[in-house]
Amino acid sequence: MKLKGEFNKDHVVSIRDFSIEEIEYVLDKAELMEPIAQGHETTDILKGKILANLFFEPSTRTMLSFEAAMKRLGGNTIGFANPDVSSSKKGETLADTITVASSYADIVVLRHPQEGAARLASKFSSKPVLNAGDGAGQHPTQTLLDLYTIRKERKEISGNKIGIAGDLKYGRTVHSLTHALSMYDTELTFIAPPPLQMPKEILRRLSEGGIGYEQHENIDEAVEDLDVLYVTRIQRERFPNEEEYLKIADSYNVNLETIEKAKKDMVIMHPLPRVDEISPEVDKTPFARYFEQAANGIPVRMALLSLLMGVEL
Amino acid sequence: MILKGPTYLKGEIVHRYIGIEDGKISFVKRALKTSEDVFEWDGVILPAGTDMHVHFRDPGYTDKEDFYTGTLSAAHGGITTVVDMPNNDPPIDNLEKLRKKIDDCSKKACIDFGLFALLSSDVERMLDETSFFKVYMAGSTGITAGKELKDEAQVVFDSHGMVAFHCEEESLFGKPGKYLKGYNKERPAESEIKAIKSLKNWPEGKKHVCHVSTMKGLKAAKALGASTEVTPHHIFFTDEVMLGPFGKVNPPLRDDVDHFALWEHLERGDIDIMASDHAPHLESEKERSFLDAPAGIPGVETMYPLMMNSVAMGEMGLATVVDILCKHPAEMLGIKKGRIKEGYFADLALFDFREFEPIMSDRLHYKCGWTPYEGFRCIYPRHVISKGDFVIRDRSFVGSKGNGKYISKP
Repeated sequence: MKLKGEFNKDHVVSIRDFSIEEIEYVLDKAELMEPIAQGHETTDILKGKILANLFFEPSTRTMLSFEAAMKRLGGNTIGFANPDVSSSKKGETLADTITVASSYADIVVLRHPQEGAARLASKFSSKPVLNAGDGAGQHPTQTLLDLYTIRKERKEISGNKIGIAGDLKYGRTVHSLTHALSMYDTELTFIAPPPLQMPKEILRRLSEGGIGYEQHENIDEAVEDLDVLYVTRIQRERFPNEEEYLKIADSYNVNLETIEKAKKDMVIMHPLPRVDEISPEVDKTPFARYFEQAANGIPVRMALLSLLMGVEL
Repeated sequence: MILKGPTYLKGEIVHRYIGIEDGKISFVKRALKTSEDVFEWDGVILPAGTDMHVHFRDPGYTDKEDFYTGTLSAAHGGITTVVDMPNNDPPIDNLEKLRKKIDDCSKKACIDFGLFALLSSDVERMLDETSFFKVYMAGSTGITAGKELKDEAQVVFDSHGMVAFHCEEESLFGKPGKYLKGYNKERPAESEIKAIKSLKNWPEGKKHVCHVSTMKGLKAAKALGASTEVTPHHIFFTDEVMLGPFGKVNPPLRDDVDHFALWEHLERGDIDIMASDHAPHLESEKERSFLDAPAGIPGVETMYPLMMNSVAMGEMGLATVVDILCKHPAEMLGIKKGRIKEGYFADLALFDFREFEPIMSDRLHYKCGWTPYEGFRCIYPRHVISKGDFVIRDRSFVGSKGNGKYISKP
């Protein structure tokens, strides 16, 4: 019998496949990986193992972080970051590419522009598949590293008042994060201009699940009692013209004035890359945790790799 | 009129002069000595689209849409021919109702149109006016599932007409499901697959499977030799999208695996046509509880623009898009449209790959006033030409109500 909280997944496709116990188990393992991730200690638990990075759309940071995570564990990587060099342009189906790649490697990391690609790949792969983002769909390692950062900075995920700002209507990573946070005992504050607020459907489900939330139109009016402020990008292309974009973008800028109103121990997060949402002068304040957040991607991905390979530290 | 610019010819973009006379393309030439006025376009000149599956709700539900607003909206989206479905009030199931619909819609249509009739005992007489018949294997707006009409289908096939099937098997429906995932379970993939497989028991002939939503359904339809259709909503959304009742549609939005498989098959040219299944309902109706909200998603105006964005993003080949939106549906309908070639109707859509913009419901022209694609990036055609005349010029309608002609028998 599997113990409560034990990780028994064959693939990591969507955060929606995780229970709260499984999430906590991964985060515990990630914590153990920290000294190795930072290079203070070394290990070779995945020595001789090969990870295949199949990136059908470019995402340099994500690819590098999987490479680093695998190499920190003593393994090796193969792969491509540009679909033009792969067989897909010759008309090979994703299923065939995955079948072949999974016969060469021990674990497959997939990034693909189309939603559903990772789930389909998991059905054809003989080895574990790890979804590194499929289109507007899922990006489970991002959600896990977000959760890991909150837990690391705030000791616990439950009990926090968490503000999420930016494009909440279309930002699917924000939807995944909201889903994950709603499994914990948190208070949520959604900050977005009205046309980009959380879809009604998500709000309705939060209410039905008894999760309290607030909605605000700008960061300044919401910031004062937050424990975590999670900022995301507002995309220019959501607006009909530059003028309307600038009008909105202005009220979504986190600067020194904004953080003056905040609690002294509030944490600012951002999935990066940022554009103008956070002024550079905030970077040097103790509030800024987004670069640490990016670095947290390594221990979290190390934890997932070791768990999927069935090798524990 | 003479058009000049980068022109889509057999899968390539090449510089051409396009001569237009009496509504038809009179020549396509590399070079031309002329003193005549030439309309120059520096974007790309593509064939305009044909949408084989719309519900313009006229007659019967004209609060949701009517034939003027529907065809106006289509034109703005680069579509110059539509084929309307017969689930009106009253349903179009005999010759008299069909003729009345042709007359009434002809007065309102801004672009050419064809009509599906409901397959019924009056099929023989209706064949005088149309070759296109629809069979609902499960209930839909204004329709309860009919009895089997195999003899009637035989009559259609004997005169080389087409029967289009809405494939869902009601006996496999589960109990009412809440949310889109629940709805996908209520009307499961198996019900579509079984209904499509059962088409082998129908007479041999031109069978068309509407809005295929599953990978296995597509395989089954192809095994039968039937033509296949996919909707934009099934390839842009999964049952995980947070649209609530606004995403309720028949067949339902499917899971991510079927969604991806459809996208991949579409890209590889395995699906004959894309059609919008434009099925508008009022916002007030869609805002009801999930169980009470009617099924249907609008999309005639956004289909071609969304696909052009997919081309610009490198997600879909231009040749595929022109095939599924222009060439194949025109061939299916038996009209000389969908290609830029001498002798074909001058039905053209002029796009500019630099003109990205977000879809906004208040800028659309159909009646129900909402879109599930709000904020999605798209490329609208700047100019649309139908039978040699501008219907859309600089994004404004310059055609006229009643100019659209009924396409009777090919």
